[in-house]
Amino acid sequence: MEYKLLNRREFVRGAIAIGLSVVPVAAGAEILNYDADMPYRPLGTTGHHVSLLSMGGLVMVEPVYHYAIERGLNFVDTSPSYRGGMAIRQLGNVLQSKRAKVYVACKYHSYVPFEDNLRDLKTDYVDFIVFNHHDRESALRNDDREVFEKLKRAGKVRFAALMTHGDVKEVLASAIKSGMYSFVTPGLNQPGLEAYDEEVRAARQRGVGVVAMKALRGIEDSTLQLALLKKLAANPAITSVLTSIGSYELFDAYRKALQQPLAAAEDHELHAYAVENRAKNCMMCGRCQRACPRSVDISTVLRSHDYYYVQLRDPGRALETYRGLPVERLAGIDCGDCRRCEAVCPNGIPILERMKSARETFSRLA
Amino acid sequence: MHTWTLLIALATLAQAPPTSIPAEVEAKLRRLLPFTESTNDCPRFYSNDLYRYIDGGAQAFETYDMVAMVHCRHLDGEVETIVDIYDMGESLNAFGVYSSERAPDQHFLPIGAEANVTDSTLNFFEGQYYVKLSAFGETTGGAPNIESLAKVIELRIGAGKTMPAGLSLLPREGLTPHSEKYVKRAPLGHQFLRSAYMGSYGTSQVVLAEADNATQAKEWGELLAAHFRATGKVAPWPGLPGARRGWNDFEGEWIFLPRGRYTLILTSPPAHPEALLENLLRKLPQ
Repeated sequence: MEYKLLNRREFVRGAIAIGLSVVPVAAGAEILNYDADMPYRPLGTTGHHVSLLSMGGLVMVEPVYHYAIERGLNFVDTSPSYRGGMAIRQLGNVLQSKRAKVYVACKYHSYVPFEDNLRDLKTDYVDFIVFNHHDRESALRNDDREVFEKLKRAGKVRFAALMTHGDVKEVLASAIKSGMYSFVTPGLNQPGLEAYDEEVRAARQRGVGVVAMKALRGIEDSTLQLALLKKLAANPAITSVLTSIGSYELFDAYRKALQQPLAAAEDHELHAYAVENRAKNCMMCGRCQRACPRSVDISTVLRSHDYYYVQLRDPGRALETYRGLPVERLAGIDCGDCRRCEAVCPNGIPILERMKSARETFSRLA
Repeated sequence: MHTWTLLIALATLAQAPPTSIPAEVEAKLRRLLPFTESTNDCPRFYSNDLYRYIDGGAQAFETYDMVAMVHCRHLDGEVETIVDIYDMGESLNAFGVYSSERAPDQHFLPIGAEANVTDSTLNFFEGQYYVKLSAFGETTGGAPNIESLAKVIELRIGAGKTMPAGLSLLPREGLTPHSEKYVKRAPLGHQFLRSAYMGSYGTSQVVLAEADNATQAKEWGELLAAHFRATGKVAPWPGLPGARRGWNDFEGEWIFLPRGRYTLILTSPPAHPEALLENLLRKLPQ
């Protein structure tokens, strides 16, 4: 491993470079593959520092990885499932000459022997085994520990991490509480930053790193993308931004953005963008529910219908969630049409119409 | 406060509604499925929400402008079969994503335009469709089961065994079989390049990036020269008029030149690349 011990000047530079009041890197810290133009942050309580920009997902171009690693990137992530197994093998090609410069995270899939991943990555061990939990039930069941301990004893992994994009709040809370994971990886776009702020801060307090993934999903405007990267960098609880980078230009642009302060106008634009997008859906702010004289659980009914049934096309889950509501919270679905819910909805959603649609759907499914 | 954040979180999950799939696209995908019964896991359709199914792997399909896909998980006793059919809109995109998941050392079968198989998986592309099948279970019998399903789907697609026409620009002599690729965006990691046919010739790789016109192809050549000037070295290559040799420490050595509306790139050139380049130039439209 190629570490560099930060001196006082580099420590101060690292702290002010991204305009933060919070010191991201401790003086005297040993940084793997240090580059003065790359910001680094401590990863939970592991004692290691990872680059604020990390690369994962699909390895499209091996030289781009070499380029990035030569410019201070020290954290890569992969999965045996990406591109039919080609991505992990391509990363293995890169690691042949770069293993000593990077921390490697690899997803765990029960159907792929972990030794196969190590073979494809051309390494004896990975630093992080990343488990996936996309629902509350699997998070609570949490049978990862046995797998992790076994691989750790065999020297094949060092730390465990968790990735989620379903039941995110519950999964994160459960993961952080478990004390098992060195970092968690939720999707953190602009609305996500607000929605999961509580969990992100809790992670930091508990010494769990937060690696933001899917941050740029849904933002097509490149200026806004860079603004969001700045916003993520300005959040001291974010350890690293994990993204798929297929070109030199993107790497340079992202690395630069992560070192620049977020302007107030950019933050405003990000917020406006998020609001605009939320308006296309129920914000689920709960105002309708609080206004309803019959305490109908409007949010859950709409979530079951609009999200699980319509968007995810998962009638089983939709019906299960719907049926999970106490009868008294459902009875009001035949409401008195007072429309108080619609009156308080900040987005002007035709709630009665949507509830009617939900009622028809669930009658049919039942 | 807790309720507020919980509800916002749910809103976040729901905030990116999938693009609605045109009825005829969905109907065609449904018809291609080799199973008749419907369950919760069959069929499921995805469009721009594919990441909900395959997480980060979705990006490869987005790069090739996937229109929609259908996922079907079928349980028959101890055997679980998964069929995923991607409608990529056009044949070149289907080949592009297929080729991005293919390696020359795999085992190939003449199903669709081309198929590759392992003990438990079979991937093929035909027309605008990329089809991935996998089977698990003690009594699966491995590939033959999914092979028969693949043949059913192949017949239903009925688009024939046509490979993309652009691949014919790559000289056959010395070409590593099954190494051809089509990269739609940022081939070789350069954002300004696009739409490239690629093939391996030993340790070298030929890349033909197709520009809109000759002027743009020349611009790409200049941008490549500027890139190598900034990151390493660049100099005229005496073997061909207009060709240049670039070198840096992360891409190694390249020879590149514009020709008509193509920018031709040879990475890690052999000691004597002249014959390969001449073969290539002969095939390029002037």
